[in-house]
Amino acid sequence: MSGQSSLASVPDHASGKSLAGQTRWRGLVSFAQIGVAFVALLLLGSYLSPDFASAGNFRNLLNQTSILGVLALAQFLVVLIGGFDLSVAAVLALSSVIVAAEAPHVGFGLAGLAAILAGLVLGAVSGVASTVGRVPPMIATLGVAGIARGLAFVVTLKSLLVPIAITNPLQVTLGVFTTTTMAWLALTVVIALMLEFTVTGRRLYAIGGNERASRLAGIPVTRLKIATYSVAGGLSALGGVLFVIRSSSGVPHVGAGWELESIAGIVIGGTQLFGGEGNVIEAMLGVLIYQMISNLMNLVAINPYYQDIVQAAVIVAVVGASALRAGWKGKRT
Amino acid sequence: MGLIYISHRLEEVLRIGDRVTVLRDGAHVVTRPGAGMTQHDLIEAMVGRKLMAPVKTGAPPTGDDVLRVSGLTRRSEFEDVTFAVREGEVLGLGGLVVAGRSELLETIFGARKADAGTIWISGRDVRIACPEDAIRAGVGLVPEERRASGVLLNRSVADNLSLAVIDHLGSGFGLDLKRMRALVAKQIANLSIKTPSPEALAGQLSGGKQQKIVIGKWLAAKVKVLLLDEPTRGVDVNAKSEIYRLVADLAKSGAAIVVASSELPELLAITDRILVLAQGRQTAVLETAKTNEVEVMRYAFAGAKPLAAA
Repeated sequence: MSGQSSLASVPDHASGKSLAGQTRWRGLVSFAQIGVAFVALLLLGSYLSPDFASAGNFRNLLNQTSILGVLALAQFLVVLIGGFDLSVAAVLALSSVIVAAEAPHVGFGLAGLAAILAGLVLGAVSGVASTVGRVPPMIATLGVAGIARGLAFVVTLKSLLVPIAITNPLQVTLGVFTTTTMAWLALTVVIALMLEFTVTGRRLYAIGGNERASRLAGIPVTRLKIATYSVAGGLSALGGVLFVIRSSSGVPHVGAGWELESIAGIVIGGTQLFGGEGNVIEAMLGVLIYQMISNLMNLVAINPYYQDIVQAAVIVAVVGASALRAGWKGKRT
Repeated sequence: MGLIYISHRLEEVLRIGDRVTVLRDGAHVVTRPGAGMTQHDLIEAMVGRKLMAPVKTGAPPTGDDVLRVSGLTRRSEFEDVTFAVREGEVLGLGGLVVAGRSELLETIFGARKADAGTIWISGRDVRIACPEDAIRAGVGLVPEERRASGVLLNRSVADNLSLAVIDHLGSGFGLDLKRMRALVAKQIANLSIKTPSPEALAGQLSGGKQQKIVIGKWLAAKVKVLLLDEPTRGVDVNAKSEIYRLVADLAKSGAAIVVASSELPELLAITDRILVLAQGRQTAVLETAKTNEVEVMRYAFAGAKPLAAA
């Protein structure tokens, strides 16, 4: 029996070395891929437009990316556990009008808290509907998006301006970093640490990887999924708060298409579309890359309609490529 | 018109068939006229695989009951199942594939809701409504579908091994990575899982190693009761005997073990007693040392009355 045993383990041993190498390098390789794409785009940008590689444009680019970035953080968490959140943009819009309507009366802080609370509740609704209610996440979050968008228009039909005196003290710029950029980066770091170094973080990856096995290992799957949707709603609402800080206005119709753009961004950043795999920092680099493409098209003055077409094509292409890759992997393992 | 009638209900086969054919492991065993054939003849033709040397030897343990199940029922799946497993004992769960073995194990583990019945762990009446309750009570389950329900293919060996105990590895806000690594290293050594690194993806290892990881997850959780559902399906011969060894060692350390298996030679080699289910009803509890394949099969085909649908 021992003779047989050593024979049988030969193939595994033979591949053992390369396997270990693969594992060690896996993280670095995926990071390098995104890094290369990022640098290539930087070089292309500098070549195409003299304005691209300037501190002013970088500040602008980061500032533009930041709010989509916060939505993408929400999206990342939900995609990680095997769902989708099509309500991020509508919740952002609702939050922005709540803040804009209430900040003059109750102060910015309290208005912001109320908006975030609304986001947490709406997110929890998506979570409960998609777990306990067994509604597919796409449908559940689309429904919540409709509710949030409707509520936003109940608050105001037209954009609400916020007195500059309220938002001005909140608009801080340090080098190329604006308030919203700093908030986005700080949140990214917090979520990255949470995912890597906490019990909850490991469990979220496990749920996305194999929900049934996670359940059978004693992970409170339903509770964690509802909490994740809720946090995603809160993050989306925080995006709305940042939107008001940036633009001094609440806009009920803002964010058309941002839910898809947030998905495209994190998928460019290597996030597995069907859950369980992805690195939040790479995902945010993906969002930045996505935003750089549109920034570049603006700088070289491409017709906005063509820009829409290019962006839509990018979304379909990256999501399609990701789905294909997942399919191949499914067949291989 | 010619008719081929396939069934595991032996009396049906004998009543309907002019001629009866028995297949075993995909090979033809016998074809005979149905008239004059008895159920016993059919069963004899169906068994007869090579027996294995017993892994579990010695008299059945006589210690305290660790797991006791009374009147456990899940409508249309199984009914009124009652048994006890002692400290250090391995109880086999035999019967046909449709007998309700997996459903029974999953219900004890809380992955399915029982309609009636009581479960005691170490003499304490426990309410198990979900897997978390079961794990808290010291029960682990190695599920039937390893790839779909047992192992996280796209997570590392370390993540898989620490999955069931990860909530005890916290230190304030974060994970105690040092303790986690120590725990993982200990299990890899204990189970001699040949993995290139604890960080290798479980999906890149062989089926046998994956199964050892799933079992190791419960060893790390120090379970008192381990339920295994077809633990050697789809693993190679060597991994099989290693898994038998693991089960025997775990029993020796005082755990109570329940193994469901479709492979009779396996049940006869690794268990102390065998509980036989037939269409959701418990038809016998046999002492392994005093039984044989034919007897187990006879009980597996007994109790022909099907459960009423819910």
